[in-house]
Amino acid sequence: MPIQRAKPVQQLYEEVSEYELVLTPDAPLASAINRRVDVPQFGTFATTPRRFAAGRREQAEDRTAFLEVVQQTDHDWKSVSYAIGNILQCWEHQGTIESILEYDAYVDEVTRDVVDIMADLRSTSQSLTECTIDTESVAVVGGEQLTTLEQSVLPDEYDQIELFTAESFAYPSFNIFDSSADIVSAILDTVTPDTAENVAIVLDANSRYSSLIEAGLEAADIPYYGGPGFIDNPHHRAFLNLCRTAFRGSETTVGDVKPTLTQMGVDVPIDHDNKRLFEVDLPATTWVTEFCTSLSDVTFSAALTEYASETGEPLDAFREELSRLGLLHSRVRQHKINELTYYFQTYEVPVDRENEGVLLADAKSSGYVDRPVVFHLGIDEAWTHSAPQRPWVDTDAQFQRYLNQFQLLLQSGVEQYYLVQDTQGGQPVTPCLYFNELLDTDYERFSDLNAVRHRRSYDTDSTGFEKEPIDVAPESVEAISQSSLNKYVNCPRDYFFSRLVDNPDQDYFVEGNLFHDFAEFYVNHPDAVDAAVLNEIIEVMLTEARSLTSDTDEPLRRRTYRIGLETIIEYLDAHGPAADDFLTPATGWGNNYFADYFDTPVDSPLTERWFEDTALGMKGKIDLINSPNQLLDFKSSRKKSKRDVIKQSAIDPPHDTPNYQAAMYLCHFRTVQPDERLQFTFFHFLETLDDVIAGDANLDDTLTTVTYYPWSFDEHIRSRTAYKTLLGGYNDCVETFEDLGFEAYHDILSERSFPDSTVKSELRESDFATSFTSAVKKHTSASVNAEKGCDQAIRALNGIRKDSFFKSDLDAIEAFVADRITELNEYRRGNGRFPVDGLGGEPNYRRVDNRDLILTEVSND
Amino acid sequence: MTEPTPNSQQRQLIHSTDGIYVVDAGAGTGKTFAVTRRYARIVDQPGVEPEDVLLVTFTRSAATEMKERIVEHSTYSLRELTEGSIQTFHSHCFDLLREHGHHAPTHLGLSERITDSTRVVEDDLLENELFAEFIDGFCDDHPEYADFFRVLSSPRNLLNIVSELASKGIFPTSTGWYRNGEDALDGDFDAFKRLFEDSNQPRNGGSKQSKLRGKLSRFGRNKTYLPDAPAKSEIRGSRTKQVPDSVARRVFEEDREDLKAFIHDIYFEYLDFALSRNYLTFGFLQLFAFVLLCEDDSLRDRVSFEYVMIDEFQDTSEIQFKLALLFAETDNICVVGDWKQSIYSFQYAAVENIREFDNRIKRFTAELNADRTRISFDIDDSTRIPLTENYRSTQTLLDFSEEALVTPGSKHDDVDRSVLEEIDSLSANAAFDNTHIEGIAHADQHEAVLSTIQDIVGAEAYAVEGDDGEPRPPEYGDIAVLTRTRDFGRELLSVAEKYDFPMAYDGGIELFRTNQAKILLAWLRILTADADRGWAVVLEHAGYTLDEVDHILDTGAYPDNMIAFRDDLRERESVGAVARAVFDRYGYTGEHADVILHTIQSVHNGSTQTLGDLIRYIERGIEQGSTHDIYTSAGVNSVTVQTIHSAKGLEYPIVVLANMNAGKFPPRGGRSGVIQFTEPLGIRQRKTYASVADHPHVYDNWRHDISRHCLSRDYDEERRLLYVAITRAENHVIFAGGEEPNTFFEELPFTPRPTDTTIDAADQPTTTQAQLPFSIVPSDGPIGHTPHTLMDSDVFATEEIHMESVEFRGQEFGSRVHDFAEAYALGEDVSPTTSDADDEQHVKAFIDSLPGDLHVEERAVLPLAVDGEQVTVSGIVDLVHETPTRVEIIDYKTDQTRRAEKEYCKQLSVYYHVLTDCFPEKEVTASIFYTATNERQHIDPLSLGQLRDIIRTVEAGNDEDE
Repeated sequence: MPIQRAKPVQQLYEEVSEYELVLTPDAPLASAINRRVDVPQFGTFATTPRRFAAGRREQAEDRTAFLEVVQQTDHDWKSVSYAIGNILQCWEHQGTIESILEYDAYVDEVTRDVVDIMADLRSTSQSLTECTIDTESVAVVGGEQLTTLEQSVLPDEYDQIELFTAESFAYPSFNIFDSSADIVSAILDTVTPDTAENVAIVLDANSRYSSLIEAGLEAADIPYYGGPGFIDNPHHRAFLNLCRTAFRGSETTVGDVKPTLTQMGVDVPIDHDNKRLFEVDLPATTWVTEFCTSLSDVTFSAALTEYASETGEPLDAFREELSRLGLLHSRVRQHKINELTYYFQTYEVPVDRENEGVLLADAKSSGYVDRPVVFHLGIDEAWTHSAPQRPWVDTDAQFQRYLNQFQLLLQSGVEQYYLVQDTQGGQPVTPCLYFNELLDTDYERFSDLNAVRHRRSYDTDSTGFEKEPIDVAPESVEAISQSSLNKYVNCPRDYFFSRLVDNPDQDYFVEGNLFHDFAEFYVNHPDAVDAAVLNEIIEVMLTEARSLTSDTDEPLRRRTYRIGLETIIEYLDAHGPAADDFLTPATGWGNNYFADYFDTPVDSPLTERWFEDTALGMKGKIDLINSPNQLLDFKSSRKKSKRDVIKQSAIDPPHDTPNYQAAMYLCHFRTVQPDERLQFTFFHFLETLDDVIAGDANLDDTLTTVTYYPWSFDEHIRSRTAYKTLLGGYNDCVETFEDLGFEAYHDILSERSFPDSTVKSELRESDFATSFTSAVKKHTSASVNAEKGCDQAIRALNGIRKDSFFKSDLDAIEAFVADRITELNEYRRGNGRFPVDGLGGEPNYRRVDNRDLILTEVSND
Repeated sequence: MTEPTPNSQQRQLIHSTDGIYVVDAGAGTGKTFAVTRRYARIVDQPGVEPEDVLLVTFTRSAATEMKERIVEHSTYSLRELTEGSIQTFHSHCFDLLREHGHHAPTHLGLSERITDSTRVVEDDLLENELFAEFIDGFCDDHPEYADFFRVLSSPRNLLNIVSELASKGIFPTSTGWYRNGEDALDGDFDAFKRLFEDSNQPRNGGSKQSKLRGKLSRFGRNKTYLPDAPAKSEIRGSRTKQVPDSVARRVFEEDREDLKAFIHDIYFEYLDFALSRNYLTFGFLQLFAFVLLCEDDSLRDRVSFEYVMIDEFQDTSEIQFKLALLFAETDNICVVGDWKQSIYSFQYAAVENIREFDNRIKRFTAELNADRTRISFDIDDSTRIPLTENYRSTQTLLDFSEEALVTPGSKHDDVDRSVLEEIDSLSANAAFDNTHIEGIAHADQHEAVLSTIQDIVGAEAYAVEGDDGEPRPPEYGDIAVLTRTRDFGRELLSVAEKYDFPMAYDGGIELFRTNQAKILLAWLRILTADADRGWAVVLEHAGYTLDEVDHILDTGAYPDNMIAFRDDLRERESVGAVARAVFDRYGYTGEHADVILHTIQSVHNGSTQTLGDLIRYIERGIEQGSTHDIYTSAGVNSVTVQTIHSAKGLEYPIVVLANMNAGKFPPRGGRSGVIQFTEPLGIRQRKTYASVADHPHVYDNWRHDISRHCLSRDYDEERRLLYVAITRAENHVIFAGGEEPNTFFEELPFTPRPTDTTIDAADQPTTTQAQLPFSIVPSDGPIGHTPHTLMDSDVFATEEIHMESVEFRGQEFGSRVHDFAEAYALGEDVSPTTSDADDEQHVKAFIDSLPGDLHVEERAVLPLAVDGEQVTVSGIVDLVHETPTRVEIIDYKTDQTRRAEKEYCKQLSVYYHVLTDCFPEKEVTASIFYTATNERQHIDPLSLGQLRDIIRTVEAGNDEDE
């Protein structure tokens, strides 16, 4: 069958104009008829059965019934609303309130109670049941669209007026767009605030179109029917969420309540986000903590009063609704909050709002819209109704109602525009399944039907904001710290933001700092720490970290602290600094937690030694100058190998996780101790935690030491040190070079230069390898395998290079740092934005702190 | 459109409607065609209606496609099918629960209910948030489980366990485990023993130690075991090639009562939590549907089907298999799938469902019938039907694709070549076979891929099949780039953008890591908290330098244009409108912006989240990289980029399988959870907390370090993904790797293809703005007015000044008095409220004083012709008092001044003329009743001519506005 032509409203009016009362299935259709009256009318003319029976004050009867039942019974709210839903629907389809009792599967104690209560309640369904029409001449338009209950009000005699004519409706072309964005923008290009009253938009209320249209209209200041409901009120939400917080438990963080606090107008600095709410002592959270702690002792009413006095928001409507629900004077309980949320999810609490402008109609709940211009959006599968899955619904009759409704909707308005997508993600969009019944053409998708394709292009002039003039002089960076450089090299934009904004405190930072402070304290005052003091320190650390960690983990943290501290003590006792007379005294820098705690100053020049070397462009803080040749850094993280340390200081290209600490500190240290072999040691004091538990810890396992040689690699390999390394290597290597002797070794290498490459295969194939091997062969006896020995030696020497810094390495680092400083000062002066990509290309996002702030260069559109 | 005639295998499937059938439907073998024809044939039998047939599909869109095709080929119309059951497991379960599931939770001992407003949470981010909230409370309520929490690094592990157990049909009850669920948790020693023995066979005829013993040479390395753990030598045995037999039992036997109790309580209480919050997950939909069908025999009888067909059976989970049995009333069960294409194990698909169909159907039936008969039909006799005639690819491709199933995924991967024996080889139907199977590897892999595509487009050598069946040179639209992981597609797309290369992305992206989401986040922060983290972003974007931003943040002297925009945003009521305004400002008009807007608006609508919560939601989205589906459009003729998973069921003439790199395909494995459920081991923990020596500690579980080698993780599913990718292609496949190609790339037998990275700037036709054919026309009937549209609103505008003064009592007050007046006049049982004011007392006294008939709140409609135009003014009259001789119109006003009286006069005049017309024999008067002062003010009505003048003026004003 084709789409049946609906009768124009004018024709309908002419057919019904002589009647006293006209009943229609939809209220908008009734209004359209009423608008066409040509003689003055007093009293009801065209209306729906429901309105006729219930009068103008028709209310959402399910909610009214719900409010009544929860006041009168103790049944749980979900069962009550379930019963009410079934009863009303069954009533609608079967005509009496008792009909439900014939469906055993849906009858229980709650249902019976609800039936009893509702039987005495004034509701629309009740009015329909009781109402009889005594008007003499009644016309019913589209009577087949009325449900059993609605039909029950009809008088014995009335005239039936058809909704449709015998002709078919020549539907307009489908306007096909590429995307929902295009459809919405096409509408926004057409509708203005002034024409809004003439326009209706029909769409699936749950679809993306709905979000986009409402947002688009609101952003364009075009009025429309709808808008925020009762539970959209941010204070209503905040109050509910606040009540929930009280029952969330001890792990609740400041960050968890921050949205609520923000809504209440309370500002909490970001540092505290990860801290546990009930373990922090902040002025900003005092109120909320107290509110939560005492909540289960007070009534909703008292809680509202509290909230209101804190925020200045009276929340009268909320209070009234709680009162209607009989909750106002109940104690606040978790299940009450759940029930309350359920209520708001299930029922719409009426709010006063201005309904004007564009009419938004849900494709599945409207039957007719009374506007001259109607846009139909999508018209896809989502427009297909599914009949209520209940045994009392006559699905065939219901299907016919839906089909008629759909046809009427498609023809509403003087002009209808169908705006659709033909494909989504390469897949055809399925047109609403009713077309299958209504169109004789064979089609799979909209483009198979009468359709016009539109392409939209956007003026993308708007790209944000013009910069306004501002008089701020750029500052120049003269020296950079290792952590800043690491960040800058990985992602300059991340560096940019790290200079500007704070991040939340983290447990591992707090713990790491305490360990560092302890180490410094212990270097200064080894005698001050005995068993009792150590216990005290552990307790102090636990307290300091408590707000950032879980109580459950306390025994494990206690273990970690003790083992970490004892390992630090063990190391410092065995290998700590012997003297400090090689250094000039330095003024203390920063605070030491334990120095303050024990009121004992730490003033050794060896610890936490600050340097800022503007010639090098480097600055930093050395944890411990352990000897004239050794710097030490305390690390609570996992151990890295020497090779990793060297690799992470690569500059061309930089490593995936760049780390220039050792290199930079050695650059500085070599200015203090020139021409010396220097060492930088990372002391990973938690590395052996598992071994301590197992009883086989070895202090050496905690240490990673890289060496700086103040000469070139070529100079180094001809040294006795390097030669000795070869004598400690693989068999053939040892034999070959013992046989060769140091002098010959030195001479051979003095004439040669080791290749730049560190790749094994390239080394093997290099000219150096060939000439080195032949020279060694020449000077060694036939009893040794010089070929193999040299190969092993080259690998061994290469190994030294990969484990150490040589003069040229640090020279290169110095140049690299200088270049970076020049570069970043250029950015600071506004010559280009700080780029997102680091020197190694796309940043390693695991090392980026401010990912949420970094816009990439890709347009994404 | 003409459909082909079925081939003999398809015919067998279409005609064999009764009995159990397992259909091995290879890629491109016309499965949908055969299944829909079979459905049509079933329902065309006398006495069989669509409602007797259940057809389960993998996705909602597949269900729609099936429906459409069935309608075309059966005598049934959509009317019958819309109520028929062609849908996914989830939606079928959802419908079942909506209709019958209210009490379903009681079968597990839960007192909560499933309701009509119960939501299904599909968004992982949201579920994680909710679960985290649940766990916080659980921790507090159950200090006895602290030891378990100490070993867990993230509670999300527990959510995975819960979901996995649900997918296997293992559920908790208030008192223990549902049915035989505990058996599965305990595991099956005999089955484990077999696996243990398999991996413990000495190799090379007994000269080489077993795989297991070899792997155990690293036993205990970097591990800390409890002191009672056996020594490595004890585990490996000495002077032997095998691990001692007794180790199997030592490994398996472990006291897990506490662990089970812990998992039970988490699971049970989480179910209760979810229901109390009125939501379900996909997994829980199936769980409750299963329980309902298991417990309620009469319901099962009513809702079961005479015919059950399940598509994509290779991707069903264990519980879905069991549900299928419960949905079946007879043995007319047909499962259709291809084990070679099973790629959803991360969604708990069990490839064994199809590979071991006969075993499983027996086992599951026995389980379901353990206490009483639920499955009453005979399940012993199943027939296999292979579909092997392929309508998609060339024979060269089909032969090649089998190789994928035995290609190692890593250097040390043991491939079981015997799977080749299980394959029903496909035979091609292609018009010609000019297939190229080639590989490229280049350090600049994105550029290399694009450059290669450009070389191929238009090249005769890479001809594809045209509509006429003849070869034609390929176009961009013929090509799909498929990748194993998502990130590469996004990168490729951004490189393509630089060259205006026609390419569209299809599938999931990390939505919140886009610029659109981050800019929106910045403005939301500016509107709420963390304003610095918002301002810094928008200032940087606008080009302010570091020192300038620093200064602005310090002083709060934000630029005027941004302040103005912020103030404008503050006026917006919905988060969607805020998002729209931000996106418009930044020129973000595409799909990404729309998906973000809709996602956020939906989260807001479906919850009680505030703006601040939405900020956290976006932040989490950035952290976790949660994905959402988007479809970018680059015109019709463009290359599609998608993941292999999202290409399931699709086909393309040419497939480029990109990012064939080490660590990317197969992806580098993530860390496994501390608590794990595996078959046949049951529930286990990889680590335990104990305090046995000087310190408490989290110890490694030595048993795990042995058993894991017996359940070796292999790359079978990765190979199936490779197979799926290759079988998407009709004509050609190109593999593309970077600097470090993966093992697949190295092992697959394709031809290397020379490549470079030159990309020609594409010459894309620019699209022009089409003139939209839309116009806003006026109403066709009479112009509608109300008395209010005739009034001069200025008088009320000035009144707004008084809104805050005590004199003005607000609209709400007015409505209340009117409501009271209406109810009282209708004789309802209401009395004046005394608290506020005397207005209601006055109204009551006034109404009491009226002796005649009252018409309360009736409509009055006045049609007028104004300069040839029809106008209808309609309003509601508060009260009409009718006596034998008079009709009095009364309108209540709660105003405390008379300032608006002139305007009210217009309103009453309209009513006056209506009433005069309707009661020609009576005298009609009009008056205002001022409720505040208890005064009645008579009005001299305006003439019809004066009303027409007013309408003219109003209309003229409207025209001016337009």
